[in-house]
Amino acid sequence: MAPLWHESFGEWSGLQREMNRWLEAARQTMDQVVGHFTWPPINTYETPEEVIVTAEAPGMDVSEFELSVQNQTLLIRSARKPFAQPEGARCLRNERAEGKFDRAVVLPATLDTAGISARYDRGILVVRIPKVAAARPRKIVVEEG
Amino acid sequence: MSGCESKRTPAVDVYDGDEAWTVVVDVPGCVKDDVDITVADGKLVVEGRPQRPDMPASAVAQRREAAGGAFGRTIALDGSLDASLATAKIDRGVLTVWIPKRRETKAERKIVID
Repeated sequence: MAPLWHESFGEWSGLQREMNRWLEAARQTMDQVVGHFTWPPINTYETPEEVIVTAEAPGMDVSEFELSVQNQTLLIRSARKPFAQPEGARCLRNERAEGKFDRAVVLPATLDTAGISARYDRGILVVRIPKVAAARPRKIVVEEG
Repeated sequence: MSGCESKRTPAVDVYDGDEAWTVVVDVPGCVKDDVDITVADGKLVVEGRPQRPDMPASAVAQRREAAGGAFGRTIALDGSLDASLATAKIDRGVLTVWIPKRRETKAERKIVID
């Protein structure tokens, strides 16, 4: 018998979780091997009304961010200047990411990219993208009679 | 976050100057009250608990590259630290600690041959 829709969906989200775990492990390994492969680190969250993307990019000027949306992909471009080395000092450790970075986040098609907003506070960039009205949950009232 | 995860270690830059050490630490999400800094035995210890950006209660995490939670890092410098004169500041999630080195008496002393 064919599985019920919700059963196959459950399997699919389990598979997706497993794949995410694999990808995250691979990403961490890449970071260790090639340095800042995925800087700044990005988290995404979803609510019934919007999608929220955060990027931990401390020490930036807001002018050093360039955000754009193309083909349902949010592109976060940034350039972090190296720390101004104190005169005459030797650099013994230089782990902090510096240089130019591009991160792309594929967005679901149900977002209203015209309503996007971004804010930078305490070194964290927060981008909010509202969902189109049709994609928001809608309560349906059952009428009697 | 599960409690058994080890503390994150933030990225640091360390500069060794003639007069002082300068240590730069990425602490996104932190303001000054979120970070503890101690200097002892030639070591600088930086510990913090960043504040996450405010999220609506209904928010469900989809992708999580930034782990969040407490972080800690011990940076070995050397015994010349003068902790009493150390200063620190946080700006846009970057902590800069400046620890002067103790001045040693370097005055030349002429030794007379008897």
